Amino acid sequence: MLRWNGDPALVSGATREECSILNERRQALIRILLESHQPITIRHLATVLKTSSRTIRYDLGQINDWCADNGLNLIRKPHSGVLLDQRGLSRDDILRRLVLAGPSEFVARPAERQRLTVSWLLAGAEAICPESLQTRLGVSHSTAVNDLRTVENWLGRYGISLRRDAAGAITLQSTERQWRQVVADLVAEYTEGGQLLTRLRTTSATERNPSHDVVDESESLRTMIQLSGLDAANRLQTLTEMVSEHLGVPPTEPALPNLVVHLAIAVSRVRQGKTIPASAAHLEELRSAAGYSTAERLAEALEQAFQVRLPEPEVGYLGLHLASLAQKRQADDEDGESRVMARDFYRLASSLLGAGPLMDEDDILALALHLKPIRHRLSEGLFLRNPLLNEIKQKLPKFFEVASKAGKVVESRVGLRLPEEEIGYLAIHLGAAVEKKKLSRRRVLLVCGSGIGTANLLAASLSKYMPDVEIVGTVSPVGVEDALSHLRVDHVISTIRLDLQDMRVSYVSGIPDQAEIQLIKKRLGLEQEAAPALAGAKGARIAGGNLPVLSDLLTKNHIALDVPAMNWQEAVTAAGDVLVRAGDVDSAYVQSMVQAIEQLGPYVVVAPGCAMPHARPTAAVRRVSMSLIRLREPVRFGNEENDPVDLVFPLAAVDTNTHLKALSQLTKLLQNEADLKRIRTARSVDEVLDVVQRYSPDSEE
Amino acid sequence: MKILTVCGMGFGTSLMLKMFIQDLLKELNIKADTDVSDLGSVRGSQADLIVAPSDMKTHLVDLSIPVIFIENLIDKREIRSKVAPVLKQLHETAGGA
Repeated sequence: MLRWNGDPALVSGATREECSILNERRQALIRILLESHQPITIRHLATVLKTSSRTIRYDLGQINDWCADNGLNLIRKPHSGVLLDQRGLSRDDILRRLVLAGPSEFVARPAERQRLTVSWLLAGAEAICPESLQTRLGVSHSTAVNDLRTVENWLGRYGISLRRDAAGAITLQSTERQWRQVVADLVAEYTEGGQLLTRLRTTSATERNPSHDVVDESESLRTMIQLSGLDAANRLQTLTEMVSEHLGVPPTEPALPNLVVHLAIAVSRVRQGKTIPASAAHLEELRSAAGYSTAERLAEALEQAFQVRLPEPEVGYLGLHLASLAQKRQADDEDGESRVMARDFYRLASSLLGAGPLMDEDDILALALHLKPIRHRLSEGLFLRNPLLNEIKQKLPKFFEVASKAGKVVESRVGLRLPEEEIGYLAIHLGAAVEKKKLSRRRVLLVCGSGIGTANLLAASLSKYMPDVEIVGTVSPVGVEDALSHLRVDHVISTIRLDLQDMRVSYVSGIPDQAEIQLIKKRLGLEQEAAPALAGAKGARIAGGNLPVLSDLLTKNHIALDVPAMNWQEAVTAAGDVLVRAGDVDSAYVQSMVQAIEQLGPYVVVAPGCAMPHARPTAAVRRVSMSLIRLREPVRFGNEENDPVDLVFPLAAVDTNTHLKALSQLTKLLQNEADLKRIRTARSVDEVLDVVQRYSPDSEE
Repeated sequence: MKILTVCGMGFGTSLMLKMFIQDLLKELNIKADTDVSDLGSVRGSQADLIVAPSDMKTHLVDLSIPVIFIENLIDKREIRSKVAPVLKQLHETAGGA
C-alpha cells in the first residue's frame, strides 16, 4: 500500500476518516447516483460496479454519512431503489467535493499499477526500471519485475517492445502510430466509464487551488489526459463541437469520443513535431479511401483552430478514422428498433400537431441515430444535461408539449420515463422536421457553434418566418471562409461572433424570437412582408369552433370554496393544486405560476378581488384547464388598485388559442358584479356552477 | 394602425385586454390591427400604441411607443376612458378612414 501525495491535511475540508470512507468504488457509486434522477436498484448498482448487492448495501451505509455531512440526502425507496437528493446543490459542486474527499490512501491495485507503468513509459519523461517502480509504487522488486512483464506482453499486442539499455533503464520501442493507438485506447477506457468527462470538468475547479494537491481516483488518467493533449482548456468540447458540426453528427453520437480523442492526440503530437510518416504508395492508398475528402476539410478546420500544420499522411489517417466512424453509424442505422421508434414518434407527433405526415426518411434517420444514445442513457440511468432546455421550453412550448406526448412511444418501448432534457432534444428534432417542409429561395449562410440540431432548427425558423430566404449552407465558424469562397451568399446569420469583412452578418440566438426575426427581416429588406403571427397569436381571432367553453373547464371538481390561505403564494398554490389533483397540470406548473408573479408583479390581479394566475404553456400542462377557488380570508397580492383578493382563477394554457373562448367568457363573468356577488355568497359549489353555466354558449349573447 | 396589448406571458391578461380593445374599436368604428405580446418580445414589436396592466409599469419604460396602463383589466369604463381618446387621436393623425 502506498501513500500517494498523501498528506490528508492538504486535502481541503476532508478529514482522514472521510478519505478512508470514500474509496474508489464508493466514489463511483456516488457518481452513478448523481447521474440519475430516478431511483436505481441495488442489484443494478452491484452489476455496474461488478460487486455483490451486499457490498453495495454496506457501501451505501458508509456513504450516507458523507452525504449528510455535505448536505445531500440519500433516499432509499423500498422496491424501487436508491436516489440521491441533491438538495439544490449543483452537480459540479458535489463533484468537486467528491474529488476533494477522494481517497488519499492510494491503493495501487495491480491493474492500476500496470496502467501507471504504461503511462510513464508512454510519457518517456523519466527512466523506468524495476528499482524506480519499486520506490514509486511501493512494491517489492519481484512485483515490479512481474508488472513489467505483464506490461511488456500487453504492449506486445500493439507491436511495441521494451528496450533495456546497459544501465537497465527501460524505454518504449514504438512507431508514432502505435504510440497514438495505445494512448487513444487507454483514454477510451476512461471515456466509456464517463470518468474522462468528469475529470476534465473538475480539473478547472481543482486547478484554481494549487495548494490542494488533490489526489484523484486515478493518477494514470491524469497522465493520459496530458499525453492526449486533452488537458488544454476545453479541448474535448471544442473538438467535439467541431467534428459534430463538420460531419453533421450529433455530439451525443456514441462513436464520436473515440474520433475526438484521436484528433486531440494528433494535434498535440504534430505540434511536438511527432508526425506519422507514410510511403508514397501508402499515401496514394490513403488518398483514395472513402473519408479522404471530408478529412481534408476537417483537417483545414483543425489547422485554423489550433494553429497547426497537418502533413498529408496525418490527413490520410484522419480519413481512415472518419471512414470507421461512418461505418459505425451505418451499423447504428441498421438498428431497426430505433428506426421504428423514430417513425412512430413522428407519426404520433404529426397527428397531435394536426398536420399531415411531417417526416421524410432523412428526418427519421436523424432521429433514429439520436434515439440510440437516448435509449442507452435511459437504460443505464445516465443523465444528460441539455443546456438549451429552458430556451426550448420557453420558445417552443408547442413542440415541447407534443414531443413529450409523442415521446410516450419511446417510453413504452424502453419501459422508462423520458426526462425533460431528452424531451427537449426530441422537440428540436420535431421543430426542425416541421419547419423543414417550408424551405425556400434566398441566399443566406448559417453559422452555428454548437448544439444538437441548433443549426437545423435555426434554418427551420428562418425559413418559416422568411419564406424568401434560401439557406445555402450551415457551417461551423471555421468553415465560413471556405463556404464564402465557393458559394454565392447574400448574408450571413450566425449564433456566434464572427470576424468577417465585406459581408453582412446578423447575430441571433439558436431559437430566434420575434424581435430578432424582425431585425433580420429589416436587414434583408424583407420587413414589408406580412409577418406571420409567431406563436399563433393571430389564431386567437378564430374563436368559437370546438374550443372549450367556461363550463367545460370549471366543472364540479375544479371549484373549491372557502379555501384557507395565509398569503398570495398559498392562495395561488391552493388554486393550482386543484388542477394538480384533477390531473390537468403537474406541480411544476403551480410553481411557475408563483414564480411568474414574483418576477413580473401582481398584474394577474385583473379586477378588484379577482386574480387569474397563469404561466407559460409547458409540458407541465397536460390540458387546457382552469379552476376557481374562493378564499376563506382575502389575501393581498401587492396590487394597490385591486387588493385584497378572494377569488382566484388559475389558468393553464396549452397554446395561445385553445383557452380563448373560456377566457372571453370568464372576462364577461368578471364584469358582471351581480354574478360575482353570487359566487362570493354561494353556499355550495352547485350554486357557483349555476353562475358558470350562464356563460356557456347557449345562454351567451 | 396597430395596437399591441402586453402581459407577462402574452396569452392571458393581454388576451383579455385585446378583446376589450377590439370591442372598443368596433364601437368607435375605427379599423386597426390588434395583437398580443409578452414582455420579452414587446421591444422588438412594431405598434402605434401599447396597452398593458398597470403592474407592468416598471417593465415598460423607455419605449418609443406610447403606453397606456390599465388598473382594472375588466373595467370597460376605465379602458374606454383611457384608450378611446388616444385611439381617436391616432385615427385622425393617420388621416381618418
